[in-house]
Amino acid sequence: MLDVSRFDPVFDSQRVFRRILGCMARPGKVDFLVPEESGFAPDRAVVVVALTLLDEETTFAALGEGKDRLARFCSLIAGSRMVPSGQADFVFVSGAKACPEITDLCRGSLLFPDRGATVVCRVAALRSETHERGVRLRLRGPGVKGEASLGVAGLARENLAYLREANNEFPLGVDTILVSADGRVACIPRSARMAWD
Amino acid sequence: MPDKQAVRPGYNFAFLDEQTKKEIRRRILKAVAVPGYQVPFASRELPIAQGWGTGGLQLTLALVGPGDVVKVIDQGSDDVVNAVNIRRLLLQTTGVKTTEDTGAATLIQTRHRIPEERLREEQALVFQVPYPEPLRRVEPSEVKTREMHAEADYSRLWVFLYEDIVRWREITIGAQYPVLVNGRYVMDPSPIPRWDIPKLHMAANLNLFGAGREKRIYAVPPYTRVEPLAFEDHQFRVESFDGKHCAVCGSTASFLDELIDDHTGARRHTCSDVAYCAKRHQLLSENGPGAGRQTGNETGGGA
Repeated sequence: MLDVSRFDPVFDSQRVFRRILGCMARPGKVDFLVPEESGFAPDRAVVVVALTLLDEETTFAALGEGKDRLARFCSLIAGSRMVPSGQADFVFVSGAKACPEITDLCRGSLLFPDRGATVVCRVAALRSETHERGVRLRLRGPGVKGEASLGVAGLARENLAYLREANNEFPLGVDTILVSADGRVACIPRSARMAWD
Repeated sequence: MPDKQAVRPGYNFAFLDEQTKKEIRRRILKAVAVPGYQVPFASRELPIAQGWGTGGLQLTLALVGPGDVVKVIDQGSDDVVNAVNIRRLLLQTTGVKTTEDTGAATLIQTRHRIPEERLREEQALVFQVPYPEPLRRVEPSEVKTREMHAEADYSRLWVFLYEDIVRWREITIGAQYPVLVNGRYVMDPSPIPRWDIPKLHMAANLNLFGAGREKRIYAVPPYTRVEPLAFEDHQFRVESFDGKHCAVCGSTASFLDELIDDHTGARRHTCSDVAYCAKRHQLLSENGPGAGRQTGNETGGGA
């Protein structure tokens, strides 16, 4: 089981939420979820996102590598219910391998677009400039002054194409929180227009 | 750093329980992802009555942390009853630092004004909203207005504005002027004066709107298009204060309140944004009359 002993449910979740919000409001912005020097386990960033946003009112699905461990964690610690990925409020995916299920996630309805899923996608690294090992995303839309650049390592180009497909009918779509193994976060809300090299 | 002495014992940090905060936080993220769309939320009971800023307050309580510096204004003033009560509630349940200086605040809760000082990227502005639905004036049914938003069918609102012009040669909506957000959703900007509408367009800061009684949260992210509804041959105009100036600081580029003297009947004007006025007044008294020179509406509004 993942370690939650150092997570303060009041103050850590407030801090983590504000950072996620800062990134959701400014696509392309990269922030730290956990202190860089703390020597956390690679999954710690995913864990703090789950502890901040999930509870017994929410449903989730876990896909890709490490899904069983994450599923156990979300049901037991966060109290969230596991459902098929097409119905889940939160979907945890591993970015490195192609995940075609992304195109079948809940995108909300025109009456209630807010019911679209939130994708929590694990990647290797996030940088606001180009990352030498990764793909460079160019983002436009609300929250971006002109064009924002986001360097992501460990995110398959197929998954970017799936995300773009899931979000091609605004206001329907999914909102993505990218969390990296080195504890950083960046967001791609459905309102963002996305291109990559 | 938080003031532990001010905090009353027996309450969770920021009054609300953690599950309530979580729900509000999830709604805020969706509101930001779909700019201008009204996200339903549970809306809890608070120790102030609905209609007195419970929507804005719930947003502030879900956002605030020990590192924040909070400012609360009501119609531009930090010192009127609604603002004072909300600020005291925040102080007594969080111990967070409060300020009247717009520039020093990280989180600003407001009723019906946007500060005159231009907000920065790292600041968030939380609006108290009485009626979140801009289509309510043309359609009483929530089911129908939701459909109209779904289909981006705003024709009846356009007809309403057109008929207003036919009848009065002017769109008679003063405060609460409907705006189009990111070219998709028509949004009620809360009852801010027209003067403040241009400040929402491509603002550097995050704007969050909370309606407690109506149980809705919506948002305008930074750098987002916000266009007041207008016709090609009938442009949107802000309030005109031509020939008037603030009696305290001399400002000719801020939103002015008119004051009438009970005894003499004399009229004078003062800045609605009291903190802005005080800052200018101090600047003038320290550096002489040249210091507060203005170059038109500092927020890009322009009368």
